[in-house]
Amino acid sequence: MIRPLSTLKVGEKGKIVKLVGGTGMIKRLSDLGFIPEQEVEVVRSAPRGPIAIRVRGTVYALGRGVADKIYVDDVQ
Amino acid sequence: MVEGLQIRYMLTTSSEKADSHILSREITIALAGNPNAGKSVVFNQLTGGNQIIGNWPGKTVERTEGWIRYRGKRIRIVDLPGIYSLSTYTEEELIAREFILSGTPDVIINVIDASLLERSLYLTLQLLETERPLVLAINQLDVAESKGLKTDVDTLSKLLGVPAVGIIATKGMGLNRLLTTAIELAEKRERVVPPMYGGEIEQSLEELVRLLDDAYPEYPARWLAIKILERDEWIRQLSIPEDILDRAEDIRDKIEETHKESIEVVISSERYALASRIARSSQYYERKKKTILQNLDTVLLHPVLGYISMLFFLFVTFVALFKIGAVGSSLLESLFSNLDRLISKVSIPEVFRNLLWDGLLSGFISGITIALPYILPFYLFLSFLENSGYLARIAFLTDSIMHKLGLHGKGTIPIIMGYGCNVPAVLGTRILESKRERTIASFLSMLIPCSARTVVILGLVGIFLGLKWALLIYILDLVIIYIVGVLMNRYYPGETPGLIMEVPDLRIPVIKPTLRQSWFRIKEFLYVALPYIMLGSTMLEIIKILGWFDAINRVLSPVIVYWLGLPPITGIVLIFGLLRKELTLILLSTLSGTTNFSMILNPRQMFIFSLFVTLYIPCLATIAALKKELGNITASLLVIAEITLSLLIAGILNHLWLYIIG
Repeated sequence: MIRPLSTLKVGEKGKIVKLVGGTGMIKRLSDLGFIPEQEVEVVRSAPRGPIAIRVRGTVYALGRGVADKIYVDDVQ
Repeated sequence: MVEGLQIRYMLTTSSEKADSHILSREITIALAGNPNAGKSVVFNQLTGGNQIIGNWPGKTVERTEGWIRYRGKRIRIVDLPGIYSLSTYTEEELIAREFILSGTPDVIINVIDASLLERSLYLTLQLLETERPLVLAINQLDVAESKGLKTDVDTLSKLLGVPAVGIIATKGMGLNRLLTTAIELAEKRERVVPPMYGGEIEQSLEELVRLLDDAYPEYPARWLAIKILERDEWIRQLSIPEDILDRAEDIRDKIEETHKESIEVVISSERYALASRIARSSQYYERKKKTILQNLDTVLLHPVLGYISMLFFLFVTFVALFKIGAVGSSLLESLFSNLDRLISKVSIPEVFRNLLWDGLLSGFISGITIALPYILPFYLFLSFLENSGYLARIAFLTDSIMHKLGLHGKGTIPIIMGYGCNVPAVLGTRILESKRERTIASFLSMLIPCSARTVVILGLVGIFLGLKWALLIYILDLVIIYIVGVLMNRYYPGETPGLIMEVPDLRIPVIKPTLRQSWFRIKEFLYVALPYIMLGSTMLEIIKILGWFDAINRVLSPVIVYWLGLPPITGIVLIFGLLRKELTLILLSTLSGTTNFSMILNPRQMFIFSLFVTLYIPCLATIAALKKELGNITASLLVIAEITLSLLIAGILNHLWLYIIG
């Protein structure tokens, strides 16, 4: 099921399908490794706050608004 | 003979650069790498120079360089800001890229965190695209191993086509070999072979390279082609012919069409695919147990326990810092008062003594007595927070509340700094992305009671009305900051950018860089603040000599006496507060001849006075910092806004108090 990264719970994994939003933000996220087909894992999630995502061994804090713009699918 | 002449000719006419190559005496090395890769530690180990190291992304905006001698050669080492990519998303990336392409560095040392190989290689590939000589410094091999990652340095070197040296910078291991390798490479001056991506991208690049036809010899053609394809904004300044740009547009459209993705994402994916392939063939993973620090992280980022531990930690630290500050400051003051007695015995004309000693020198001493006992321990604490990685966790925890104030989590950092001193807080707003954020964060941190204002709050309200009342001022101040932040967020046009921040692994800070960083910051504080404090205290001395005190008190009395309900004497005192906020209290006792403030101020006046001192105007040093960071106009607006705000709040509170309690 395709849904925004922000809806995943702590410990859940997803595979990135699509980034939406401004060019600057997309460029930034893709530089950090948030690119289609990439598997990501939610490490922490503050209620209504930012979420911490692990990508390629690094943990990034993403504001909820940013995480809303990354769409993920289930990991097979 | 002819050859000799030629060399002389070149020596006299060419730049520093060219002759250094002929004589091979000077070599420039640039250090490039991700934030937290250990670049600054490598730099410190190689040069022993001053340098900021930090744990939150993009802090070393200023360029740091050092010099060493190595086998009779002069080696210049330039530490570039920590970056994730060579695009132009941030100032740091732009700085790094321009420096590398300028041709100044003879060789690049790319410092890589072995425990984050794949992401590090993403930057490495972009560095290789520039075709400049490059050495890989594979750092933190020990950290990687504790995570169960075994790195094969030789395979890495083979796959990337450049030399690679394994190092553990914190222990100084491998650095000699790194330096030798870099110097050897610099002397050979061979261009490196850029990495090859997928067929479709390579074909497009080939076509663009052909069209460019070496028209810009100062840049590698293939690199230019990539940037044109990537729609890089920097490319505009080269005024590339329209037909090439049009053709690039067509190619780009086709690629975006087939991939259903924007070109930025397609090219990033290409680089990551290659980085991932290289990482997988040169690193092996064995499962290891979680370390203590990783378990600690579960608590520190916990939705409930995280906040409790953060508040507890900050509270304990602040109490400790104020205690240290009070002891240190009284020690320094007694030291300087001895000096004072000594000076008063020297026979020089009264006017000169007033100007030089009471004005210039005591301004200097004021600066030192506040900087050393209060700010230095605070900076040590802050460096510890940063270098341990805890600051990034605080930013994470506070992100949602900061969003209401038009900032994201990183905005908490300057605000915390404000409790030590507003000057570094304002300078620290540099870590925020937009001018809007920097302006909001500067204004909010100006409203934070710094250590100088703490002296007034505790020394007046705390002692004469009790600690609960002092605490009330702190809470009231936070409420005011919250309201101001919410209002600024609503009426200041623009949006709050989302938080995108690396949360580095927790680690125990290396002592030497932490100390160096604190020293560097203290120096920055002294450079910005001291001249203003000294100038201001001399000017006030002139006013005193001219005997304008009473006149000033009279002019100010409508505001001071009628609106704020304070005794007239506080007028001149508040002007002195421009220099250092705690001078208001010191001067009040000098002018009234007593330290028992209950004789000159009633409880209402004490409360209003302390609150007003906390809010009324930033000190001169802070104004200087504001000017430096935000420009004259914004700085002036913020100062006017703060004065208005403080008059409004303190005045209304005064009249309410009179009305309710009497």
